[in-house]
Amino acid sequence: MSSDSRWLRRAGLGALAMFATATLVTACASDSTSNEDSDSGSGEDRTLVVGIGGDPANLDPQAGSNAVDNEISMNTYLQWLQYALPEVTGDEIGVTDVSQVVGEGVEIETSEDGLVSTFTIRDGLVFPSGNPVTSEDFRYTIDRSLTESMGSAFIFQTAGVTDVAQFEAISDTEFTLTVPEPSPLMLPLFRDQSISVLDSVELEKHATPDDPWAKEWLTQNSLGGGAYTLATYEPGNQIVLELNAEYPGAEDIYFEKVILQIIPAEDQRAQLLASGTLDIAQGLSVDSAESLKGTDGVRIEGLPTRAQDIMGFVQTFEPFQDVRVREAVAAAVDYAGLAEFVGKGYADQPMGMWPQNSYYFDADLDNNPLVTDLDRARQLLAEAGYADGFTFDIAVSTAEAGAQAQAVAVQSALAEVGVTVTITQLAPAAFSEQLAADSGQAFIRTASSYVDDPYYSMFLFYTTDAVLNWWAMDNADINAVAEQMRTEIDPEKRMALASQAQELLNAEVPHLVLAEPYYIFAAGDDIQGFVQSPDGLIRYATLTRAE
Amino acid sequence: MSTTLSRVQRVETVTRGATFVLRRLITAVITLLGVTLIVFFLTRGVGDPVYILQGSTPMTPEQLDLLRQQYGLDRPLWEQYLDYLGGLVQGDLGTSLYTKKPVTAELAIYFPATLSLSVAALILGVIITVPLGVASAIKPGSFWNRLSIGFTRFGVAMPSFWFGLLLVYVFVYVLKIAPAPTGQLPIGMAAPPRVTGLIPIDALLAGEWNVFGAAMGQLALPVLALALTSFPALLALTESVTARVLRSDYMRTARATGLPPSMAYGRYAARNIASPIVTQIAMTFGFLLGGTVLVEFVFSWPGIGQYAVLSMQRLDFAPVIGIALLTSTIYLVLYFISDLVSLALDPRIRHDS
Repeated sequence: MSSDSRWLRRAGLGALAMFATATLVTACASDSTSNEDSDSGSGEDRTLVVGIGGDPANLDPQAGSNAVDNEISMNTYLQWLQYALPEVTGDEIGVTDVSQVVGEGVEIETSEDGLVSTFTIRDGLVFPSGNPVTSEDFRYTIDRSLTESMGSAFIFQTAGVTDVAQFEAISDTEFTLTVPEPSPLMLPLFRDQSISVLDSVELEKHATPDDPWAKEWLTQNSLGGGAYTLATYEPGNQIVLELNAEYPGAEDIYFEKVILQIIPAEDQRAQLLASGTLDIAQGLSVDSAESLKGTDGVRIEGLPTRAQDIMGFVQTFEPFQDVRVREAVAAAVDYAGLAEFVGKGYADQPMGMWPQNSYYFDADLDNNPLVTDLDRARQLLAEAGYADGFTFDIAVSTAEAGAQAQAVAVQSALAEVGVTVTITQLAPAAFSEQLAADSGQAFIRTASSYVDDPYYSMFLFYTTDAVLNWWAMDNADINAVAEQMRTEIDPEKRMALASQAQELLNAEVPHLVLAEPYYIFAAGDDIQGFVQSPDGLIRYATLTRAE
Repeated sequence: MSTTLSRVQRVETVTRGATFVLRRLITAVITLLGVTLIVFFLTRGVGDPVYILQGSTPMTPEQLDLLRQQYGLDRPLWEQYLDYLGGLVQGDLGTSLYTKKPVTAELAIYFPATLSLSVAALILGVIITVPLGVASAIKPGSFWNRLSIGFTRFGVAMPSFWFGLLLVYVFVYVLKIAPAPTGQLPIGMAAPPRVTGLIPIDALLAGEWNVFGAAMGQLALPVLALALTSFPALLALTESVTARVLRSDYMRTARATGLPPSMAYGRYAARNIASPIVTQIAMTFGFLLGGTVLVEFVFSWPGIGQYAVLSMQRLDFAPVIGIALLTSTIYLVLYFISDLVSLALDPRIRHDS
């Protein structure tokens, strides 16, 4: 063998040795932690591991902008009120009673004329800082919200509190709020996590001349006061919550620690749930839920909600000014097919414009326009002067995969009656901007109001000045009914007004309801005590693990 | 006479070097300015971020206007751009609309995760591909040659994220010998005190061996996914350059004149082979630092790829531009370093430049 060959062979063997070493090191490193990992997650009995899709955008409850923000606020801050939580045993799923709002941080009494509400702070409430919860904390919360026009200002203003001068402290533990007219919305609105009670003494320590309300500090920090406190937050990785021992009833709460692990890929969340690494996987699509069904150790529950997948018509565009065209499109859509093939069993067919799971839904109305009838659709189109059909655009957000699938189904259904649909996918911000400006012909998105109240829905979506009047609707009859609801506090009269509103909306058809999607609760089969709430947020304090 | 000449040569070399560096700096500044211009106006065209900022609580048009005012989004675009450039000159990359934190501080959180992944993948990739390429070139038709061809084809054909998914499926869920893809550490394990931001290094500095082992374990699969799919170009280049050099006239002459193999291969051949390989390694490293987003997604890795996606979804302008600037700067710096290394290794390039 020549010296060249020997030298080259040695070089080759050296390379091989380096490769083998690298592989070995990698394999050893991998192996060294695989067992360790199995000890985490559901292995720790009193630790709940929840897989979430992304970082919170803002930890300031008054500026929360997504479900992760809101869920953290709901669990880590003291709330004014909350919907009544049912007793849940075993594998039962509880549902909050939306007709009952009870005190968490305060007890509330309203005067007979409905104008003055007296709030009494529950005895012994203390923030994690050690500061007692006082009337001043509530005043500060209102003042900060209104002065800085935070997202939470909407809650106070809608309830009739537009100025902090409406607040009056009677003592450290008692205060009143005076509103100019009775507000049936105050109770359900005041359970919103965006108005969580802020520890004013602690927060003021972080105020600066440029930032007197410590908005910057609160985006990444938490004051706490709820059942859990924020222990650590590692961006892109995890948020760790620990049980707040000072919270009333803390001794009855099962999980001492909650880890919100950020797993951006939905498929990975599903697989990690199936492997037992996660206790709960949030934000799973119907496809993931379907794929997990029947998996050992996994519990998938589809729970009816008041959410609606809607297809809105913007009435400033031809031909949607004509109600016959809207009715025709409504009659052409295949609702059963949408629920079965797109919803895959995790959605209900609509029974009218009003969500069928609403406390106020009237099942006796006979003018539901959302019934598939192609002959009727063709007849209505002909009456409206569109016998040969027409063409229009449907906008969907790229963030909503379900909406895209529904748009394709609608496109296919409308082709049967000669209507041509073009689907336009928009970035989330562009989509929202188009909705706010009423600048597109039609759109598909999911909508829901956290508060199950007829006036709240009308005020939010259907009156001419509604903040979310995406359909540019202007119906005097609907405005009139909404106006009556605004101050009507008699339950029976409100129910009658709600029926009237539903009848009018069924006739007006401002949008279609393509389906009523379920909330998907995906958890380990040992997780118990889940209570479904209209806001879709999980209260970790109610959860337990089967022993 | 000879002293005078060598002084002149030294002055010439220094002048050439200074001109080279100056030209590269000017090009870099113009490139970065172009990046800010393009990214700034492109992101502003996607939509108005106040509709994302308002979140789940509806806002009235007046409240939305107030938000625009608070964030300066109501001002003309050119004015916002000039403001941004003014801050940039002072090293200020702007502030996130959501977290209210400076973008530089946020990059310092996310970038080390990407850096650790990229450096580890680079080391493993170079260790595998350079020796394999050399071995393949030495013996055409050998086992190493066939392995090299297979490796190159695999790397070209297999997307890194897809390979990552396969690795996770096989090693985590089927064989159960690898840790779950939960980012840089297993669930529930606290990160070591932050010094460099690189978790394995910080764990070593803190003497937390269990955390170091766990961090290395978490690195294993994403690094394999990147290392086995991102280096086909380096492998092919190593092989072709090595073959060309080994079969060159000057190598034949060197061996014929009796130079020992260590000197012929270790010095003359290696220097000629190294220059293009260094450039290719720099390009691959730049690609890894800026292009691991899908692998980060698969492995829940909290790097700048994830940060970029999140920022784009939220229309958080400053981080998006900051990430684009960081990635561009990395490319420019790496190219610059590779040019310097090539200059040092190859006298022909020195002469040409």
